[in-house]
Amino acid sequence: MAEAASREDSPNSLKREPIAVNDRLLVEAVAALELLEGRPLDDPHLNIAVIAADGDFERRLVNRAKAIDARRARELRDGLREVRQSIGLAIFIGTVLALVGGMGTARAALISINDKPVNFFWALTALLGLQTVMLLVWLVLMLASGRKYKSGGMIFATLGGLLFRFARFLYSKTHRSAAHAAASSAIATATFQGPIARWTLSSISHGLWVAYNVGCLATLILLLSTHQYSFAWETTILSEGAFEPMTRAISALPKALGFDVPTPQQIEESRWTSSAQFGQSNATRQAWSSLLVGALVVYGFAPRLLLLAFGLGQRRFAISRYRIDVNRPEFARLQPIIMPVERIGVVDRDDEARSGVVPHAPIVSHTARPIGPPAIVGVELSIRQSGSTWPPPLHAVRWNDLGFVETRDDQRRVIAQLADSAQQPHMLVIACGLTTTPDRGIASLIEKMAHAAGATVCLMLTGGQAMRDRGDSQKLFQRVEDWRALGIAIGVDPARIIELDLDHFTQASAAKIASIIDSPPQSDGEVKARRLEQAFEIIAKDGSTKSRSAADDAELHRKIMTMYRDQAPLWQRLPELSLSSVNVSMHDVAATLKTNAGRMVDLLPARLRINPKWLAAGAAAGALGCVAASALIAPVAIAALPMWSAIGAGVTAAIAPFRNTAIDSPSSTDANDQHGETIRAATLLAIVLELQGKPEAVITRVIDQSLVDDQMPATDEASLRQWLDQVRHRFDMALARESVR
Amino acid sequence: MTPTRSAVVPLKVAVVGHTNTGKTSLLRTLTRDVGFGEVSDRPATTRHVEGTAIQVDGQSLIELYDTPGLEDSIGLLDLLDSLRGDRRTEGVEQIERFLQSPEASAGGRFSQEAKALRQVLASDVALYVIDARDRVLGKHRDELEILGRCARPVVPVLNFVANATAQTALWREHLSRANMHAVAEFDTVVIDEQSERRLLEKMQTLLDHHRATLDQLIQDRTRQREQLVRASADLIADLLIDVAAHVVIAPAQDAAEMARTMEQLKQRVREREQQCVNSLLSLHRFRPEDYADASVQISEGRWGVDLFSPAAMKQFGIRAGSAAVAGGMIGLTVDAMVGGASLGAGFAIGSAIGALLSAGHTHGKKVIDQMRGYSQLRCDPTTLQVLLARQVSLVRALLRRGHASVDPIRTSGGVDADKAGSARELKPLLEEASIRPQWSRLESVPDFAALAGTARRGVQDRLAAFITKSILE
Repeated sequence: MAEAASREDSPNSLKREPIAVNDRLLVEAVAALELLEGRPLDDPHLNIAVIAADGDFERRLVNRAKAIDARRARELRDGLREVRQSIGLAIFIGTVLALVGGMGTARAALISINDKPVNFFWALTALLGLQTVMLLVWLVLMLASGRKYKSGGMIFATLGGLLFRFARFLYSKTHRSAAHAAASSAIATATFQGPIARWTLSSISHGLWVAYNVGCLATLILLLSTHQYSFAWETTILSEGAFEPMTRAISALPKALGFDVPTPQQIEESRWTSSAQFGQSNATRQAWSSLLVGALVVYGFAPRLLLLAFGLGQRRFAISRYRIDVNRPEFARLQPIIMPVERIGVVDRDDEARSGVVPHAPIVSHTARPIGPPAIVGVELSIRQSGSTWPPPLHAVRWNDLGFVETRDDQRRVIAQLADSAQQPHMLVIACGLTTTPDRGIASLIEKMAHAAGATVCLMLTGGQAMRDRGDSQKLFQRVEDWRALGIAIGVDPARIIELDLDHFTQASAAKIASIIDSPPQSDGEVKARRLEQAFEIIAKDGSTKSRSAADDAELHRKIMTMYRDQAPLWQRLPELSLSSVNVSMHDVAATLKTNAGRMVDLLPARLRINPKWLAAGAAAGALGCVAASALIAPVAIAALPMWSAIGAGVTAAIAPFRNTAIDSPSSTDANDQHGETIRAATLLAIVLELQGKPEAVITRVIDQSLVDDQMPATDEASLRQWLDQVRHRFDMALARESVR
Repeated sequence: MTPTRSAVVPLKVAVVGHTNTGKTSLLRTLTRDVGFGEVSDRPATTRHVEGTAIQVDGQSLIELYDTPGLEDSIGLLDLLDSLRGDRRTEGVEQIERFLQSPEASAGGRFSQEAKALRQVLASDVALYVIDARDRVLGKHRDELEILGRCARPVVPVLNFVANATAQTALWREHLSRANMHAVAEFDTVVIDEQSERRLLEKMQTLLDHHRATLDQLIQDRTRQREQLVRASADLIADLLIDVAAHVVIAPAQDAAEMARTMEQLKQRVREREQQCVNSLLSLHRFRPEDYADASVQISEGRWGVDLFSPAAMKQFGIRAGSAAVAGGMIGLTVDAMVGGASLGAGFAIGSAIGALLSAGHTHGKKVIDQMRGYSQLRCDPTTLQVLLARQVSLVRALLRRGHASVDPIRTSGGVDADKAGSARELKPLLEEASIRPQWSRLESVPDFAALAGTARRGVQDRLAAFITKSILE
């Protein structure tokens, strides 16, 4: 309810008082300062929640600008004030200059030489000519910028820029701080662009012309009051009659406003012929001087004053319409911070009470049916499509195959079969895919099946490769753990939860199943450890020879592989090279090698995979291991040793992509490093072979813990041995840890 | 602000689906909120109903509700069928009866399912999230059956369609057989520009009343994306000017001092690049700390490959000169201060004098005398190319990255730095920057007036326009 109420409020609160111009200016100044300093100005104690509480983006920008660090805010406000003062000073200086200019013009207009009367039309042109031309220029610019904003706007922006530069020049000597630069840049963005700039500059120019006219008028009146001027007109080529209508036209408006103007007779009298004939009456002089003042007021001063008032009004309107351009990049950057996603929060809480999976007593047989063969059922398995054999072929085991469960009907059928069959299965093996997320639905199904069967349940997890194909090899371990947790929660004996791959069914897998069907599996790590030592011995002897060729590397790998020959079925899933045929397509060989290099790299833990040296070594181990395996299977073909050079090229090609992404130093192609890669690859191969038959997650984990170090001083046999000893020690430790798990 | 806008009633959307199909991820990506809820590859990560809103200019347009996964739909459907009673009961009535049953209450067997269904009933539309990598199974059919009984429009959303193992076509076929034709594809990890728009359009087809709201959102998203690209380009342009304009000087004879200065310059540039990367991440609403996993590429918000290494150049198809590699001078260029200035122009010498003066090396002695024996160091054009290419490929990766991704950012490369860096439009701009050390923020005494000046701004804007083009290329 409280939430609903606050929601009701928000539209009203949006109608708060409008944002003040100075606040917008502050936003611009803060943005400019942040651009200058290249980092946000946020107060570390700033409460984003308050800023981001309400309003649209612009209001939040204002809130934020107001909430920045107080010291910086003061600097900015001072800066803004000082820039404004500088602009004011510039305008003041301009005004004084305009005033003086006006006075000078008026003085110059009324100069009479040798007591010759003042030429009225010259005087009028001097006073009004320039400013009328400038008025027309202004008008043209306004029309241009009004219609096609760009061109005229550019000129105003340029003028504004000049004025602005002048203002900045006035204070730049004393103020060089970032805050001042930011303040001036903010004022430039806000007031020297667009309609505000247009009307600001118009107002300034009209204001200056008003000052000019005031100067003119004052001087004019002063001179006319204290000096006697005669006014005349003269011409060489114009007709005598032209001046009367012209004067009448000029004087129409001043006359209407009450200024005294010369009569036609007075105009005729004022024709200059020679000083001897020229005698002007006082009234005529006053009429002319009144017309001069009147014309200046009507054609110069008044329009400028009106335009000044109009311009100021327009400027004020433009300022009130001014909005921050929130699409500018510097503001877009703030969007994630002050426009955070509004989370509604939890509307229906977690009950805490965990439903569904309830730990059960171990599932054991309790019915008195005769014991039959072990039953096997696949839950949501995709194995049917992959073409693997189902049920897994096992020597001397006749499965009671219940098929696959996918739908509600399947569930009913299998449960009915389990409950109703004449024999109680000796064991119920439930195969689940690792790509399936273990959830309550599965748990409840397993429970139902277990109870219907009344037999001990084994959980067989398969499809690790499918999980890896999703790109989730890192998550595989977690997934296996989740399945184990689920199995344990519903009462499956942890020893009867096994992991194997039905898509790559090996003798080891078969052995695993056989062992859990009859008795819990036993660890046999002890005997094999010595074999690893032998393999490392080979590496230490072989690997310490320098100047190696691809053939040497392959030979080293073949030797290691031979050690594990009795376990051939384990590594037989390495893809075979068809070396026995004479016309070996190098392309096929390269492709196979590449696949295998990739597989080995997949086994590497993330930590090693980012290490370019180990990445390359992993790829090499995969490719060379493949070659070595093939050599063991088809030794005849390998006897033709020239093949090695060709295969060497294939191996290099297979490793290349892994090398490419990871090259980190210019020396990576050094002989020394090549050597290191060989040692690393051989060591890795030995460890992987040693760990064959174990779940992939375990392999990865043990590798992770065994190959800790990147430093390999191994150039001579002694230090190489030392390094290998360390690896073996860590390997033993890791294996010990695994058996505790 | 206007009354019509405040009158908008948010569209309520319930996001439902089987457990671990990426419901929370979908919400994260749609709202660009990496911190929403909890995401893991495990069952029942979300056990409550949590809401979040998609806003346009401070106004909530859509309310999205994350729900616990449907885990035991088969069992639930059995239960619903048993609640049907003797006479023909409507689907919604069955659901309502179920929601009042003890199984649906806290601690009950189907309390999670109940939470999800309750939210569906309280919403205008349900998004049914499917992991397209899964096969079509009985449980999915049953989930659709249950949702069908809720009498709310349902838009199936196929997640992880970018994955190699996704079976999108099979799913589409199955869904159309279940009479669902408005199917959206939306990978929460790898997004493309169009998929979100299509999802919203699919919702429009089912929700006529909310057409205007969704339209508004679609437009806003388009606008925001443009803005995002522009802002990214602006950040990169700023970085390039800072680095291109930066010049330091060192006595050419003193090898140790030279090496130290060189390393300082590199370090400053690296830090500046890192700053740009951080800004880009935050601009795109990602957090540097979201990427805990290590990677060859960016991890924990850092580049894995040093800018001044041949690898960095190689990545973008640039060959470092062998002499530069040998001298440890990768990415830098040295000009003797007098004679042989690579820029040739007197202007360069002038700017060098300025740099010398500002660095306080002269103490009033004759500048030219002092200049003999000093060299000026700067990043070479190749480094600028690599910088540009790296940032552009990062932005491209960020634009395609769903906010649910937990893997490190991978920049696919694919940016031809040689082409990008030496383009006719770009070169004069960077050269202009390179003769104006006062434009660089990396200067020890920054010239703020020059930094705030319109000349720099102009170059930056032109650079940004160019970079925008190459991001969208």
